[in-house]
Amino acid sequence: MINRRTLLFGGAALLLLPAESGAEYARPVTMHAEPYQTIATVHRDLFPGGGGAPSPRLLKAIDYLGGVMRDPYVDDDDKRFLTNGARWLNEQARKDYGYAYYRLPPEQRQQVLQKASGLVWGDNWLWSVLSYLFEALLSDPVYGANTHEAGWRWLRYEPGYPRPKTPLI
Amino acid sequence: MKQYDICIVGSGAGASPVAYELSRAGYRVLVLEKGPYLTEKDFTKDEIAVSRRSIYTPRLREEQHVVETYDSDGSIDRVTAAESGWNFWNGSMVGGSSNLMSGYFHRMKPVDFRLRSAFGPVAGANVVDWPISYDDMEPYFTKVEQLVGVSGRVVEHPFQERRSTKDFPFPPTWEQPISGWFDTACETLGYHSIPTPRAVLPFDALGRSGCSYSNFCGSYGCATGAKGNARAALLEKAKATGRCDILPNVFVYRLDADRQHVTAAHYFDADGRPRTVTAGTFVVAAQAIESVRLLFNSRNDFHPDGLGNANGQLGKNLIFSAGGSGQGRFEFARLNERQRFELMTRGAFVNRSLQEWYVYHQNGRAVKGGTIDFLFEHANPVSRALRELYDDDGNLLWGRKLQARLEHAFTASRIFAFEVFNDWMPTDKCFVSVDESVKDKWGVPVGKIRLYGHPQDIEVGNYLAEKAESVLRQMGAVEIESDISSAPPPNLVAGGCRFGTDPEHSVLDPNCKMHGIDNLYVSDASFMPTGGSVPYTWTIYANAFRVADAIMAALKGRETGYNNVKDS
Repeated sequence: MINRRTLLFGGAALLLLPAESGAEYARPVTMHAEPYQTIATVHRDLFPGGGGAPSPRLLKAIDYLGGVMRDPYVDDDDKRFLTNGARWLNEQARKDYGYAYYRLPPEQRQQVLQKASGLVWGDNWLWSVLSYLFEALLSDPVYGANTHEAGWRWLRYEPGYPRPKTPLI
Repeated sequence: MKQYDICIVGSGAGASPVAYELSRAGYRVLVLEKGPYLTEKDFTKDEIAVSRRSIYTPRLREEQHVVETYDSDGSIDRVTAAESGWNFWNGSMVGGSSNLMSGYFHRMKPVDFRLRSAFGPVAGANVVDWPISYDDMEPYFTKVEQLVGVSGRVVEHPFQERRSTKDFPFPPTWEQPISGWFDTACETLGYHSIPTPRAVLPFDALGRSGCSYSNFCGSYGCATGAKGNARAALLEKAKATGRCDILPNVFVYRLDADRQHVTAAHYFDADGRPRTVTAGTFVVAAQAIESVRLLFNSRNDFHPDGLGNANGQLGKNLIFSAGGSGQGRFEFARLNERQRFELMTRGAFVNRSLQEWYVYHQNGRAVKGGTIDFLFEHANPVSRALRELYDDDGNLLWGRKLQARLEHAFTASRIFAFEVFNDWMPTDKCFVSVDESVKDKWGVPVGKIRLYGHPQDIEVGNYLAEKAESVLRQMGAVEIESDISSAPPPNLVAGGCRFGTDPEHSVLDPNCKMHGIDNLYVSDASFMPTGGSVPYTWTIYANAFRVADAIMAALKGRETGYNNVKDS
């Protein structure tokens, strides 16, 4: 896929589950895993919803990200970058405010995001997180996100036909 | 045991006319295709699978290329595609990338066949005249219009090429109201608006269904068969003769040859087992880069540097389509209600081009220009959303600002775009070879692509982009911008097996038969010495019909070969 990632792949272990043939793409993730806790919080901060826009929770954006992590078509380096970025964001948060990102109040989280977005890794990581969030917002609901076509309805988007009956990946 | 007269490697626009013509003429044809056999029922408008995950191209971890570029100091920067994500694959399926084309079909013009004579040499470039003329190719352009199906409407303009028929066999597809805005703007500016010919059927014809106007064309397989892809238009009909077998999911990795003949093709079948097929005549049409790779990987004692490379010409003069793209935004706030309604009409085609500057004059000299096609931005919603991620100062947006920007982009504006096509100068610095140190999943050395764009490519592209921008301004668009660069479009690649009369400077003869080998033809875009200033597909189809005629002429009076497929 198109991405803007650079060379920032550290050695952290991958948050990967083996691909399961025939399984639903987006299905509930284990939220106590720190990367998911962190990214779910980042989702809310980047795209809060409201004013007609669906929330990441309604879109099942974090469950969709779980599907991305199992997706054999997504490069392992991209998956590693997603989890590493969450780790680096927490490191930044702990350094500046003493707690992991997802434990901070909203104002401090925005400060951490601002600082991260000014760094090469942070800008690339936020772009990556948003790109998969947009997939959850605008993909065919057959992938398990974009619940009730909420993203399409918000943006008055008409899909092309024929639509997929099952996920092709 | 099956017996074949013709074995074709590849199944796209360069392969299918040969399969069609030869099978209908009574010859037994085998088509070997690396990708799966997908048909209309397999194609849906699934952006995640098609565009975001690229399921129609190989995974780069399994099959890739090595890409080399020039640093500013002239040194070579080398990177594998698996590391960089640089994807030079197109459609890997029966029918090849023609399944995924947008179907902008422009004929090459007479001047494209004699660039060297018309414009003289270009410093640092290997520009030559073609060994054939437009008049040689014209009957085949016409044949493609009729058999593949091209819709359009001929209008007079300064660079309208000679035609043997008055008009296209099919009328234009349903057109978007903005096409009228475009025509008005061009009239004001004194430009000749051209209805873009499309390889899309406006109604049921040729045994295929007409367009369903689903609003997704480029990058997607056609679910009705309206798009003139190689499988729907030609291969299904070749198969129906009972004399054309199509083997999907097989990868041809080597050709055997003695001094003057190819004797066998080796391939891995769908289960990874090595197989061999023999035939009287072989045709390679695996797309420019992969055809060259196969010929290099077929080196043997008779041909130690690869088939067709006795004079070091194989892989040389790789070209792409130069140019780039641009866009402008129409804001609802600047439009009346009727204009908004017209702007948001979906499904129809814009179908407009400009060839006003196919040749232009600058600083007292004639310059080869090109073609500008106009269209709406692609309907892919995720891609559209991602374009809104940064503000005008380049800052990443998030939160309510991002939501507001998205909402505005999708519901209160629409982006109108253009694509510029001009010649990519063939040079010694842009070529294909193989990299013995990097292997694909079958253990076969991968293609290595050296990239270089000649400065003239950029100059011409910018000139055309400025003209395109002037039309968008006249139409009332805002936020107009363009991006012309030497970045190669992987779906518009040609050259590497240049055809010509002189074996010292070409790989193929004027019939696209390999110099020095009696029964090997190359019929994809790799034969092209220069690319013209139009998308390549129509030319590839037309030339492959011409090659089919040449093969049939060569076979006449000759006993057909005995062939078989067997385990190695």
